[in-house]
Amino acid sequence: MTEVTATSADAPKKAPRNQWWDVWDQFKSHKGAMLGFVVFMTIVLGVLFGPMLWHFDPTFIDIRARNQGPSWAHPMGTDQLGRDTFARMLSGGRVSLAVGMTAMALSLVVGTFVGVLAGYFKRLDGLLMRTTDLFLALPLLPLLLVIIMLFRDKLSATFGPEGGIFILMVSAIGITSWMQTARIVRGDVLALKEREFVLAARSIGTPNRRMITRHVLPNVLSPILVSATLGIANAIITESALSFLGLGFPPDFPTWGRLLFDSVDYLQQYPERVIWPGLAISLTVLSVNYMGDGLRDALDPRIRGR
Amino acid sequence: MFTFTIRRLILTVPTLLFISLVIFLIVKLSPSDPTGNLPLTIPSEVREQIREALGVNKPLLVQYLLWLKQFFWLEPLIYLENLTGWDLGTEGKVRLISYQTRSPVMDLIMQRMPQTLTVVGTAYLVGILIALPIGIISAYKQYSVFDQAGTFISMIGFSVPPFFSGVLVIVLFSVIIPSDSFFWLPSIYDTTHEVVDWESFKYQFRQMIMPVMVLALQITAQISRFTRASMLDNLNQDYVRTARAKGMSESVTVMKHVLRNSMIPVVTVIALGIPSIFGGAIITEQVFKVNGLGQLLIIAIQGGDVPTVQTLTFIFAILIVLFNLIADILYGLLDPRIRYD
Repeated sequence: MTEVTATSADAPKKAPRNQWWDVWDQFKSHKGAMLGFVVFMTIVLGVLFGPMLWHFDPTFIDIRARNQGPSWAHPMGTDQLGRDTFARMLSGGRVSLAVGMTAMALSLVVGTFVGVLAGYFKRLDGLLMRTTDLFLALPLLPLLLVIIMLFRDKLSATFGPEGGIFILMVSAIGITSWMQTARIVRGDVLALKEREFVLAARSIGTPNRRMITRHVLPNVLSPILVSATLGIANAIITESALSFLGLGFPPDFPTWGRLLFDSVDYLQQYPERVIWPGLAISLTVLSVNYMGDGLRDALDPRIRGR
Repeated sequence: MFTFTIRRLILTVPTLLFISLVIFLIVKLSPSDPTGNLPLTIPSEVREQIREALGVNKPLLVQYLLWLKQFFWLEPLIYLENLTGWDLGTEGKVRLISYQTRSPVMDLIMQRMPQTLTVVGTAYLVGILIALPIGIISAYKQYSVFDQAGTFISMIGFSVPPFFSGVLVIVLFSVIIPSDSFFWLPSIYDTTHEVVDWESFKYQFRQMIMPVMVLALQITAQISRFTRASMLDNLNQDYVRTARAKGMSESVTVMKHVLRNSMIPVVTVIALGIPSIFGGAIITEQVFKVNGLGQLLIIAIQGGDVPTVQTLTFIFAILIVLFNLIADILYGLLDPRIRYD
């Protein structure tokens, strides 16, 4: 008896593999997703550490060097006030990505909260889902424009021009984009509730709070992760669209959308200037979308291992 | 089917009321002052009288109900009067007046509507006409070169925002290409241009190419993906095998059996997408300087013109609710399994 257990423990002994390694293996096999991941990481690291390494200040005005084309000193040229476009792109990317990620995080928190509550507690389901439907029927872009226009001055006075608009932008994008996440999470929670392990956990007297944090949330993590990638893309595009319509951050505070908006005035003379911010926005969103695509495949156990 | 339609119709009433309340409250509870843009030399008691005349001193509920009455009762009556020439007693009633132009908001909207409808409507049609064949072929030849290319193009359509693709085509076709070349296209959409003969039609066609194609790219990306997914769902069904086993030609199987069934969800998605295109057109209109509804909204927002902003946003909301309703009813009409009544 003891011999048998000893041999079976010895023979195919392999360290138990974390399931996230399987996900990573599957993710690696998706070429587009891998490429997107590399591009996105390059952009994130570039805008994080770039401004520390690059020797120009994005707000430094050198009026003698204005409207220059690309050169070794200014790889992307300079703008109409002689500010280095490369430095402005780097610090603009910081703001754009920060807005994108914070807004995404906010919308995920709200969406997951609403979705879990609606799926788990039957009494709240009707009310919460009707609210979600109502939010889906709101005209989002016009409403965002109205909110930003009306509340900008008040918040700028309280938190400073940059801080105020940052808070406003993030919360406005966050509270208008949580609905899809909430719907997906609710659907998954409803299906999870019928599973045996939930019944088992309930039968040993697990309270609702621990039930949700220990058993439900980890199992709805994959749809949340996928909608996180879509959320970043959506938030970055929305922020740039608002900046492009002139309702974003103040002019001396560069973001990619703002840079694009400013360059449009010089379209006739310096058409190459609109390319950089536009390319940065599109490349970021494209890479995030491809990552989401790969992540969806990697997190689906039916596809994994094929 | 009838009760299904009625039930859906009744559900839209609370939805519309809720949305109107949200829009009203956002605009009203904001810290901006409707007299804020007036000169500082106006004495405070006169300012108070102006506020009185604008009706912003009344309780919020009264203001809300008044706005609803103007929007849902008075304006349709006036529209009916203009249409038929009857006198319905709307003379002297207070209409929704824009703060900026001092003219009725509805008249402004009616002036702007045709431009938006021409550009957006054409773009939507073009987008659908491109998207459907792409979706069908990509599904039929799954993982072929064509399918991969289609996937890549729709990824681009999802990722490149209209304010970049629009500006990019302007740089290509209006700036880099010399203006006497055949391929040069005007970057500004001239809405005063009238089509009277072949020459002016050609100009109209040329100036519509860029805005329409920029909008159509976004639409194509979405609808072709959706068509592909829906076709793929149906291609593996048993009835397709049966149709082939009966000896039907491949074209009849795909174009008659599979396509008709896959179009059910696609049609509803097309209906659902129409209002979001109006929203997205705000940016495209701004890029190509089309003086449509989107541009009116931007001007009104920048000028703090509360009645125009409220009305326009609410009209966008009505469009969303309306097309949701249409999509639901269409779905019920096309797919009998949906009508659970």
